[in-house]
Amino acid sequence: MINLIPLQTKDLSYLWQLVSERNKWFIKLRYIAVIMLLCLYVFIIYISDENIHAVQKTGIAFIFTGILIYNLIFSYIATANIIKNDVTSFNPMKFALIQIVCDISSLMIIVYLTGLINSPFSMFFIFHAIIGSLILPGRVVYFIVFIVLSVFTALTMLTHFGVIPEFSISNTAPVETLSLNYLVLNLLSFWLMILLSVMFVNFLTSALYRREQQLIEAIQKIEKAETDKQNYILAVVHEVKSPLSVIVSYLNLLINGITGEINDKAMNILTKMKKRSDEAIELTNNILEVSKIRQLKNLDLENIDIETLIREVFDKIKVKAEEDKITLHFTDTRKSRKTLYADRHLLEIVLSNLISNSVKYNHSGGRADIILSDRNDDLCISVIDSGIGIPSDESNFITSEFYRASNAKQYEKEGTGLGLYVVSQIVNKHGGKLYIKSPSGIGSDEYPGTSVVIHLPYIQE
Amino acid sequence: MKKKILIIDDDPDIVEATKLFLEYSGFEVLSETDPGKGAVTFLQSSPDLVILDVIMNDPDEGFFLAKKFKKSNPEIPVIIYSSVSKALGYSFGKSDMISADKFIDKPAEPKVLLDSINELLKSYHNE
Repeated sequence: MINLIPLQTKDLSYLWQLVSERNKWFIKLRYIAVIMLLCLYVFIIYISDENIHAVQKTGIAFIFTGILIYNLIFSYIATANIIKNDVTSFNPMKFALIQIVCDISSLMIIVYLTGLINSPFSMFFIFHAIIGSLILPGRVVYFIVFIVLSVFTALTMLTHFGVIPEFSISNTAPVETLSLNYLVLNLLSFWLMILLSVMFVNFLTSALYRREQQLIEAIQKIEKAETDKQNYILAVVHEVKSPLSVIVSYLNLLINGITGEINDKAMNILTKMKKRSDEAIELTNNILEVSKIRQLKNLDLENIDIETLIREVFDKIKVKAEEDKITLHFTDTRKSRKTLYADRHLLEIVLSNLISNSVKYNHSGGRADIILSDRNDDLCISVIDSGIGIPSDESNFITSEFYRASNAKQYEKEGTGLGLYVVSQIVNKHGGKLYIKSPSGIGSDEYPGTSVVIHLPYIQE
Repeated sequence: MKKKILIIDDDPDIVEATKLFLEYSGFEVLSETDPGKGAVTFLQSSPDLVILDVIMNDPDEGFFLAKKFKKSNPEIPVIIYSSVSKALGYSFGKSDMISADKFIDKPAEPKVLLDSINELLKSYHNE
């Protein structure tokens, strides 16, 4: 059995995919060819005043019916799970070879019926030689082309010497009357033309294939480097976060008086230590989130009870909100009770970020409203606060990586500028939209407030 | 009677800090810094609730233990208390994740940890 796999092939699955696609393309193209052949047939027989022999009429009719029938069979084969992506089974390569052989045979008959060397259709052999070279290995194509050219030459010679009958269209000089020298010259240039086409295409295809493989390898290397980098970040952050967690856990014991009474001066220092440690932890969390989102290929979708999720986030933030005397309100104005289909962990990150921002950048006695509503097929989550707001000229940059609004920097010294970036990335991945507005409408002149509205499709497509 | 809580975390300092706080809050606390010994203590002492770290000897040991505990004793609530549980959670299959009753980011505010523990004990007790 001939091996149809090109020698330079490195990735077989990629080859199967490529050839399968081309096979489907051939089938489509062949339907077009049948229609064109039919038009031509109708034109020659009914419209033009060509003198057509009965054998030609039936022959051509037979051929285009034949092409139509075998193309229907090919369409069935292409869709019916008969082809196996395996070197020894009936694979896309073998399927392509069968198609090419069928096409060339049909073309040979058409060419014979329309005058061989005088036939305008003989040029289509070049087209087939090119297509063959695009798919099959060079040696197989050369073999096929050699057979085709030999048959073509033999037919021409046999016609010339009157061994087999000649068919022609239009009033071209019959092959029989052409001089042998002219025929040989003609045939030679035909051989040369086809062999050169195969050579060039073969050369270009293998060069292109090599480049493609190099590109794929380069992309894989980049992806691997990115994964390594993110895993490295994950490992480093984990190592940094562990001691921080210990420090904060002990500070919590001291501040909560579990280890005994602490004087005011010491308490003041401990509180500051706790605040700064919390900020460092927030930074590590944000870096973990960004790193994870970068690596994320697929969303882990599930049905989500958004109300419960918001309450869970509330629970985590309520201590800080109570400390800062900020009231959190939750309103659900949805009329329908559709279930949201989304990634729970990512959505929790979004809600945590938005709600904690509305507390962090708020003033004592301020408020934050979380409102659920419907808008067409989207769920709207609005987080509206009476906080410091965002300067109007900065609202365009607010979702950029590491960007912090100028007033935010003054108000809260520490912050990573990653929160809203993470939020916008997650919302994008869910096919949603993020709208940030300041003033929010519930603020004052001094504290204009921020309104963040997220539109999330209930169902991910 | 005091409720018994088992903490399994390979960081002795986290164990100490959490233990001190939970004892202060009125619980009896058992702890292990070795996951293998933790599994044995779990079986022997039948605690009312377990708090598990995730990254110990193996990066997913906590999830593994949670699954194991839930299989043998589904009546005992399990809290995953980890600094990267959320981030790591993405890499694990759903079936591995469901084992735990609650995920809490380390370090948690004492009140958050306490509320979660009480809530879980209450819901398991009522059932």
